[in-house]
Amino acid sequence: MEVMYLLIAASLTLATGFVIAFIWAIKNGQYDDKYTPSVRILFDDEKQEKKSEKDQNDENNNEK
Amino acid sequence: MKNNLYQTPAKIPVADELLSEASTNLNGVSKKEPAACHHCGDPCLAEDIEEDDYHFCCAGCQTVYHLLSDSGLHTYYKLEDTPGISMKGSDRKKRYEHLDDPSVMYKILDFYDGKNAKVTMRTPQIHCNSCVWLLENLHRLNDAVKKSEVFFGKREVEIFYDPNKLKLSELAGLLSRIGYEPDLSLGRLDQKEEKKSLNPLYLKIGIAGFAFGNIMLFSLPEYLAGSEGVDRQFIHLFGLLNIALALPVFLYSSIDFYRSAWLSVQQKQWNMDIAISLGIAAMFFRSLYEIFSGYGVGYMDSFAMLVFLLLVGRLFQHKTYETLSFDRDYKAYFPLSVIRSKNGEEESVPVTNLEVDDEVVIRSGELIPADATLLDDEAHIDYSFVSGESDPVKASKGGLIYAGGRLYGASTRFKVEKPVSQSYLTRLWNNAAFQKTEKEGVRYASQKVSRYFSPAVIGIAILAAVYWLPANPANAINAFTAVLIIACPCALALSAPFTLGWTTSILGKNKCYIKNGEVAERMAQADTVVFDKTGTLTWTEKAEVDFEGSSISERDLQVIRSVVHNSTHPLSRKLYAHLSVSGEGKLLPVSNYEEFPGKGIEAEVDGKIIRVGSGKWVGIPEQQEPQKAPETSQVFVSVDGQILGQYNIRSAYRPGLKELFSDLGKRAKYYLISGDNDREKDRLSDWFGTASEMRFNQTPEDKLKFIDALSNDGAHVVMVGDGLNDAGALKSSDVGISIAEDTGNFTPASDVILEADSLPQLEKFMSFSRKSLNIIYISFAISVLYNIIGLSYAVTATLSPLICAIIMPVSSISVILFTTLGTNLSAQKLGLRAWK
Repeated sequence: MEVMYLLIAASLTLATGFVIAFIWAIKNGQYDDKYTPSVRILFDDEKQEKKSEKDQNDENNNEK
Repeated sequence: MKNNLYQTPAKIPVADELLSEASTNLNGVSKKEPAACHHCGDPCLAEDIEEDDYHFCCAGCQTVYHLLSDSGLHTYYKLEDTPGISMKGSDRKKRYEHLDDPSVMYKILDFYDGKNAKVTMRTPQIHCNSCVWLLENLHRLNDAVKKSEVFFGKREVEIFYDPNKLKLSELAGLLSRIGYEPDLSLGRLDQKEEKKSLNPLYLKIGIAGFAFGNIMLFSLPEYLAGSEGVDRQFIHLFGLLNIALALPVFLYSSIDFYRSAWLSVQQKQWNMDIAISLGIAAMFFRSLYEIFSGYGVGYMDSFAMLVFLLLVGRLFQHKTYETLSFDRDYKAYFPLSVIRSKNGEEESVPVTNLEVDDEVVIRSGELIPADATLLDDEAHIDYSFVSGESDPVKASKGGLIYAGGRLYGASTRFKVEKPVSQSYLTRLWNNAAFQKTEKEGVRYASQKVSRYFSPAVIGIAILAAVYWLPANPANAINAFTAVLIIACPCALALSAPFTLGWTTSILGKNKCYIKNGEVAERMAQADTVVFDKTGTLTWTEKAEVDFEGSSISERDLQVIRSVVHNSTHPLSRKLYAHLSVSGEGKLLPVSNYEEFPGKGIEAEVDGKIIRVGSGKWVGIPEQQEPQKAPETSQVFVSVDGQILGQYNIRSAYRPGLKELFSDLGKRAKYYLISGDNDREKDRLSDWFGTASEMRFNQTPEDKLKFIDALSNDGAHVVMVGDGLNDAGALKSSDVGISIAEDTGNFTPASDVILEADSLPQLEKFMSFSRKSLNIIYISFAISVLYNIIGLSYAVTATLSPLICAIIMPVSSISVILFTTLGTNLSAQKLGLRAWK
């Protein structure tokens, strides 16, 4: 039954990891606006003729 | 939500087949169906500009289309059909120079360091995905904008930009040009309300939930172990783990309960949170004792579950309607800037910078921001906002005009007499009524119960301890802590939040938006309802119109409609709405349009001179003017001097009022209080009958005093109103309900925002609130039942963690289920919409 100690340690570590992720998500402001991100993900990146504009667009999209 | 800039009358849907059939009617006048504007979707009535196979209703819409296409922003039109905001009537350039004034600019900006600036602009026109897309691609319209992010719920956009390349005034101008005119009212200069973030609550719930789940897992073995029990080594380990998991819950998640209990103790009052805090403490410390003495795994699972459920209850009650503002003061109504004329030069200055003796130029439709005297010969001022009087008042040169009046007619010059903060209107707002935040003397259901609950629990605990002390001292402590643990305020503390959360939600689905759950309780206790008249009981735009005179042709009707379309006078708008009932056909071109306030309008259509206005204006000598009923306004029409007849216009009352008053009368007293004169008295006496009172010509202070008098007599008053003139009364009543025809516009400070269409259901809403209150009481009774069962174990010192772990969840869940089913079933029985 000693394996129990290992199992408990493993599961608690995993669970704690999730709690930390949860805390981080909240502090990161992910719960401030629950609606707009759902709209934002549906926007397409557009094909740009000018390469420089394309790079700027990609950069802006990654920032969000 | 669209079209706040230019009000188009309500459209009556007409079957498509009818429209296509009726392309020419009996008189042979072609009534071609107008094309829809590609940008804003409105029918192209007055103008129809064609380009690239698209139609535009005005040059403004076409300009925005160009602006966006030139920057490659076609996606705006692809994401949604006709996503644009109508640009009709915005040919008047908005001036934003005052934003660059440092005293104003730094208050509006969120952040500024010389190289970067961040501003949050409120753009209430945001209504669809295209809006979000466009505003987040602002950088493609002007590369001084680095990044922009939309917060749809709050109708705001955060813009990061380079202040050296772009001035704040230019940024506001850009937004305005694409149709998203920023809402910059005087209220922006005061620091914005920091909306309380729910993040701390989320954190507390997350931690409590995590702890609860894991503690439960470690406690289960003991419950399921059977007679031989769990291995010694594990019991101890599980116990210690439980303590470790419960610690953050005890020290962090429960903080709000301790704070509230402590505040209550300082005020020498009993409060539910006192019982909760005692229960929490008892559970935690007794568990510590039992774990360290090797007795078991303690009550930590019930403890964590209790905290978790209580916090979830609080979260449930926190429903917010982010787009609606329930708290406005006068500053939200006033514009940020006004045009001041100094030494012959005109500049746009912030309203707060106005000084006495400044000369200001107010344009048609604008609000006069400070008490001022008229410099021009005459002016017509619409005071409906302030006093509820619906006819414009004529002022002569030198007369004093009060702040809050709206100018009707051509641009006029005024001389400021008092600074904005000392105007009559703002003094009204500073009245004591507005300082009252919490209505004293109201007893909420949960408060009533908690007053008795906490002392009762402590009393029983002491009694039990005293009983056991002589015989078995160990049992005394056992019984004492057991009572504190099991006397579950859990179910009690959950009843109100869950019920009120559902009540708020269901009322919201029926277009009755309440500020918070407590408002529902106050609505339930109300026994008196006071109604304002203009705009509340009457439509603001629609009216009852009939025509008296010689026969009038279809063509003439079209002519009148086209002429009247250009006027913003309340009677013109009502006439236009009436004439547009059978669909919005194309308008005829109108030339030489001119408006003469106090007299009428004149224009030329097809070479003929059309006049619409007073009897004198169309050429009827005064003695020959027909008699009219006091509540009717008469608008005469003449073509080339030949009088066609008159339109009799009466204000139209919203539908369903008769039933509303008769239903209300069964349970409550109701009154009418109006700022308008008493010309409608006869019409209204049918409804208001003898069981009520009607008062007219009431100033805002009169309204406030009336409500106060009623309250002092012990009545619980609900006030229903819509304008600035009602604001004082709304605030001082127990429940202030403001009627909104369009929730995108402002509403005065109130507890409830009711959409105009839902007004006839007011009695049902009050009835529903009453039922909700009853549900709260019944669920209190249910939880008392559980308490009795639990206490029977506690006082006999036979309480065990297992029993606790069963009773607590069962009682909590049954209360939650009961309140949920109860509120939803009541709603359905009343005919309210419960599910979307």
